[in-house]
Amino acid sequence: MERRSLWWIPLASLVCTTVFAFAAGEKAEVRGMGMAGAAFASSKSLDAVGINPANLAMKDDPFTLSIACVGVQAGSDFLTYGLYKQYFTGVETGDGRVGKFLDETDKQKILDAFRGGVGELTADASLLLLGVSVQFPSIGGFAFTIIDQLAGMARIPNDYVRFLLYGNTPGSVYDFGRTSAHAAWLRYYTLSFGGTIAHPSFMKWLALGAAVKLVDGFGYYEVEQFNTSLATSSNGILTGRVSYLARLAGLDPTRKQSGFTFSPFSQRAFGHGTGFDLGLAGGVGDAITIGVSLTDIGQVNWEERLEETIADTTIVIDDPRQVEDGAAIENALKGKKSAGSPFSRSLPATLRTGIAVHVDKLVEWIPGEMIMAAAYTKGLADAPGTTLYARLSLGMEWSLLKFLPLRTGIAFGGTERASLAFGFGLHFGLFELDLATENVDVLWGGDEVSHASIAFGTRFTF
Amino acid sequence: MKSLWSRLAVLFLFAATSFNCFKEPLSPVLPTWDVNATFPLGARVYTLGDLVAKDTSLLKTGGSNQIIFAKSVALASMTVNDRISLTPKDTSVAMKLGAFSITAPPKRSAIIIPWLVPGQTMPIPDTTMVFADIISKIDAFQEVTLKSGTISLQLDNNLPVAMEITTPILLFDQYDNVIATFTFSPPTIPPFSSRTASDNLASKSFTSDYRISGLQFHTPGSNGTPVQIPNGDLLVATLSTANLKARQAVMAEIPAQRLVDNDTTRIRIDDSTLVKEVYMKSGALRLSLQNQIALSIMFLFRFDELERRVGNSFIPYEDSVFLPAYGSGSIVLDIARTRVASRSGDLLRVLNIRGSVWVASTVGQPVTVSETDRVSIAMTTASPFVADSAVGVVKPVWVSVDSKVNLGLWKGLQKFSGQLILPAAHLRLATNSSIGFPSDAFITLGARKASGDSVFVTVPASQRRLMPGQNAIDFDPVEVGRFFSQLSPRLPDSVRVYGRILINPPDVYNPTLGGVGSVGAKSGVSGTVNVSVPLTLGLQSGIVRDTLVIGDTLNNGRKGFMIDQATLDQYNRGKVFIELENGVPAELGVTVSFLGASRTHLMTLPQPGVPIRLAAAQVDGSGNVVASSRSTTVLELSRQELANYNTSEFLSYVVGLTTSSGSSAVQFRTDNQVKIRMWTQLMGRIR
Repeated sequence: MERRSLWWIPLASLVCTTVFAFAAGEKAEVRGMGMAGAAFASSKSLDAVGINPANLAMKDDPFTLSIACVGVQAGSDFLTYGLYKQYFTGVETGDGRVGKFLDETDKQKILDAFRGGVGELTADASLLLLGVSVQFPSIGGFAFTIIDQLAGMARIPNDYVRFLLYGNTPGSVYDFGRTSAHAAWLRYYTLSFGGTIAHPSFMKWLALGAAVKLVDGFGYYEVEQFNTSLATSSNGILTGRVSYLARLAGLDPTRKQSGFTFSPFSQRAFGHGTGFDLGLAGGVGDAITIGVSLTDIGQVNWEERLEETIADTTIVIDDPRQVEDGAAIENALKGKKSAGSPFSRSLPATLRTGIAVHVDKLVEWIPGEMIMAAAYTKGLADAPGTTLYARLSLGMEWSLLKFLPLRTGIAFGGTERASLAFGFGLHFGLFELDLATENVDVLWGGDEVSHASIAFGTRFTF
Repeated sequence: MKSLWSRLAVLFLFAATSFNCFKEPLSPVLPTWDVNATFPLGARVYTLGDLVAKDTSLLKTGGSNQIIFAKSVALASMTVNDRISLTPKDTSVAMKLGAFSITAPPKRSAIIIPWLVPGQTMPIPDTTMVFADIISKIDAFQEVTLKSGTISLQLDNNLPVAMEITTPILLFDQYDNVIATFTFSPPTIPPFSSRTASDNLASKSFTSDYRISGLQFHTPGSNGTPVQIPNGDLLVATLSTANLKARQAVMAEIPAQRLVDNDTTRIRIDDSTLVKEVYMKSGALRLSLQNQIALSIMFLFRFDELERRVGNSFIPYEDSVFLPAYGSGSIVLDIARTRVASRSGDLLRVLNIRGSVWVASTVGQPVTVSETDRVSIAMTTASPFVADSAVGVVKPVWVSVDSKVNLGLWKGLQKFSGQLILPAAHLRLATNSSIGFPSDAFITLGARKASGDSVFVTVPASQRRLMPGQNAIDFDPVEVGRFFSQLSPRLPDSVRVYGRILINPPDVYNPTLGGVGSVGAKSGVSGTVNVSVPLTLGLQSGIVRDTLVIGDTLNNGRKGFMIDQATLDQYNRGKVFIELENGVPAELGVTVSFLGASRTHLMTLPQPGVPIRLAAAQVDGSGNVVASSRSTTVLELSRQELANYNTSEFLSYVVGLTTSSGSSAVQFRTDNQVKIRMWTQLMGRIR
């Protein structure tokens, strides 16, 4: 096993945290991230916000205050560490490492890494600016949170890579039409409540929860249509079609003199919306909890500072001399910008269901407290912050020492094919500190690693 | 406490050990792979006119291999546009109300038997009874003449003994006219049972007041046995009607009813296009309606042949208008995007309109309503019906033509001034008609002389007929020669083409299915004007050189791109493809040279002095080119040639023509073309 310096780990974490430090959502749920998302049925108080509001009814500390919980995740579903290691780190020779030569099999393997011919790049960051939960034993639990979420997703057809690998051989056609991208920066002001309701006889308790969200949109970008292709005829004529529609709401920080400024608590919103969470949770005996929830039902209406960029051009190059306007191709790619019309986009509606078993209540010889849990998650909207790919999570939390809960989990599906999570907490009475990652295998370079993530949170309980 | 510390020790030992497994990822090293790059180098089309203009040494005076100045210029398309139309005749029609429904509630009358006391138990003797007539009134109308319907009399015997109806029972109106005769069969009504008899009311007229007469019954009695006389009515007669359709009625109460498709009328549309199917572009039809019925009605109408689009299909056009009693109303139908289609597949000469009337339930003063009451409809064209496309028989219609064609005759011919054989000039109009009917072109070409006067040449009568598809109109050579000679010596650059085209002229107009064709707003006649003038010059063997900038993408006379040396070094193989097409009836030889920035020679393909040779174009028996010859030459580039290729700024073509005097005569036309296309395919390794 090869040992290397670990300097890049904190640096990467710092970079990610810096890049996404002004955003938020489920990724700020540190305990859940440590269990690979399996903590759905066992999350309580602030951990339940945005996951299942019904869990607020579960008995927990009377008052909880949390600030500055941060979670970030980024990666792709096509470039795994195994692929990177095999093809992009060279081969050892007497003169050191040199680039590996890609033969036909290698090219095909790289192209096959794109699920259905399209790869996804995702980045999701969450910041819990403020979270307060209060529990009244006779009523249930309330929570108020302010969460920023910055999420982006890009879909890239493997024809881009095919073009790079093979070039434009005569007769080749490259279709980039399945390219798309979405990115949004939203702030959720969420009031959640969960309370017990009458339960059937086989259950010990049953709770219903709901949350109302006011959403401020600080920025949105999407590439909605992208009918772009490059064809090379059998006699060398190039035909390029460029057609796309991109929408921007808000100010583009990458553009000079755009007027973009960052202000954590007085950021100007360009879109407004509302959303709802609904959830149901219940206990079967003392040891088992189950739940189901539907979160982020709603939409954001983008109404200010709207810009559309439209391109629709076909360029046929038979004789280079005929391309009289040297900027024609560049202009075709840039498209034409115009003021856009108001539009609406769904919040990242997500369906979750899960079960948690308090093993220590069933098996007496287990030392400490042990929870084993499973959850199923599926995005219902093609929106930044969720994925239409379903995800199954299995996780465990073991408090062998009460002040040091250890968490781990494994998840299959979602934007990642498989991920291994690890996290721990340091709970010192009134103060709790938690740290987690859903991609702990990054540390030892698992072949299937294609994402990196980290979450950090603090909490005061009374 | 000891336990706590021991647990902590185990945990930290595990954590510390696990860090031994952590790996730093290997630094990225980009892979290498083979890739292709294909891009065009240039495409050039030389006409023979271009070639001889560049080097007049190709020309010779007299002798064989005569050159014909030829020019083809596209003619502006003449389209039908909005000239295909339907012109429905203004029509006044009437739609009858038709037979209408009458609903009359059943009338129940108890027949009193005074000697039977309800509730008592007593024997009923064998008795024959005669009762007084029942006099009552049907509430639905005052007077009516029916088209159809039935009337029934039901007798209910609530006694514990049978009752026999001894004579038919008659129904009279107030004027003692017999309305109906009720004959019961069997005539006996068992105890506690009923019997019904009916009669047909079709074509009968009567008033609402009626009298039921002949109520004579016989009972065999209870054979002396006391029986319980029931409480309530012992004998009941109920008169009811069914399916009453009236031709005329005086009514105070009219039931709600919809008289569906009760009349049909027609609009003639056969004065213009005879339609099999036509899609309308625009148009509107105004319907002015006058209600001559004493009722407020909703008049609904539906066209059988006029349909409107719903999604991807068409449904019959229907609409409605409210008309007060004896009142009027109007409606304008927008027929844009509708379809008129024949149901039978035959040619359509009329549009059928079906009318329906919806009458709301009304109660008020008695009114007289007759099935012949009608709604008068005046139909006028609010805006012309213009077809977008039509399948049918178009009556002869004229389409105007007037366009200016820039032939560039002066520009093209001035260098051959004095060497033109104008009397032998030829003028042809090559047309392509997308109109699905024969057409006649009444077209004249006009041009202005230097003196200011105009001269004309007209399409000969024998050449006028244009059939669908491609046609060629050859002008009379004598007239053409005179035309150009009158314009000489300075031939004009442009000519005016004007006149009219008659679509489906009378001699081919066939108003039957055999004459059906297709035409649309975008149908029309396009084509080219072809001029050819023989020269007193011939063509001889020779070469022509031409130099142009490679990839002048910025149009500044300089190469717009250059592959950097490092990138070029990645390409270790390359091919240049040279595609030639020879439309000149002379053997072709081509070499391509790549020149540097100061036009220094870098390399020549295929080899200096060894051109790519291509046979002459194929000619027919008259020496006219019928097919070009083609070839594609693939040249492998060495590394040195690849390097030369990258630094080259100009391409120099050497085009050689070799005429063979010994072979059969050929016609050289100045619009014969030589096409040269070059592209390259580089293969290399990305490092």
